[in-house]
Amino acid sequence: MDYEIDPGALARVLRMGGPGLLGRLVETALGNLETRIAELVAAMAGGDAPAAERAAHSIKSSARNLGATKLGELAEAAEHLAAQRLASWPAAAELLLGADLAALRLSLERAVAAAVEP
Amino acid sequence: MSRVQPQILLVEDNADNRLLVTVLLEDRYRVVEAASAEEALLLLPMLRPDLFLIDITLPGMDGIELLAELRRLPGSAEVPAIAFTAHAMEGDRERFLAAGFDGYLSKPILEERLLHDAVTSALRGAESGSGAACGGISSIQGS
Repeated sequence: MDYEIDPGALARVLRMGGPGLLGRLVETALGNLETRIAELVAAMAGGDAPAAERAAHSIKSSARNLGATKLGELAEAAEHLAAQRLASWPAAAELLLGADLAALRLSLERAVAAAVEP
Repeated sequence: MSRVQPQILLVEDNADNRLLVTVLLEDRYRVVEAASAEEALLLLPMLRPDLFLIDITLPGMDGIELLAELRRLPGSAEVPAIAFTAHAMEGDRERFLAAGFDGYLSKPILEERLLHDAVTSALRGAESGSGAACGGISSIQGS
């Protein structure tokens, strides 16, 4: 599975802090995604919409930092549904749980390489 | 001991956002990080922040509740505060300003300049005593 990465998002970080910051950001954001997806699993198991909302919000933020646009959109949808306590929030959250972080890492590595040495 | 750099208390639960803000500001400011409102309140007695940069969606107490608590505490009531948020719902900006924030900065950070402008503007407003910490501070939102 390939994730489409917005090159503009990576270029933005490169402009602000160079390859060093971009590398640190990728590692930190991937770590955050792993943590938040685990929190989302727990929220779903407990039917805890506020916790799901917070987890989805953080996933959205990290996904946007990484330029993982589709993942960010899924997270935003789940966040809004959970915020409104709509019955469909677990279904939206379930889609987020399908995120393949290993595949995302590979996609990011390719995109970062292209951004750093175009 | 004199402090050369203004101190910013950054309250943000997302580690990558903390990293970005700290790296972008650390040349000119001393950034102290807290991952929750509760951690910020524990740190506060050891600090003398010149500015609060507060995420809205936090675990436990949220950013708006934290600001209300800070406004009740001696020493932090007059410190300017910027809402730092990925919320994009209509009316959110007005809601944050109505809650007492002096400025608004949206995530992701699109330009380093926007972050520096927000911080500089908030600090300048506080120095000039432009009331309510900052009638003169414009809200800043990435587009």
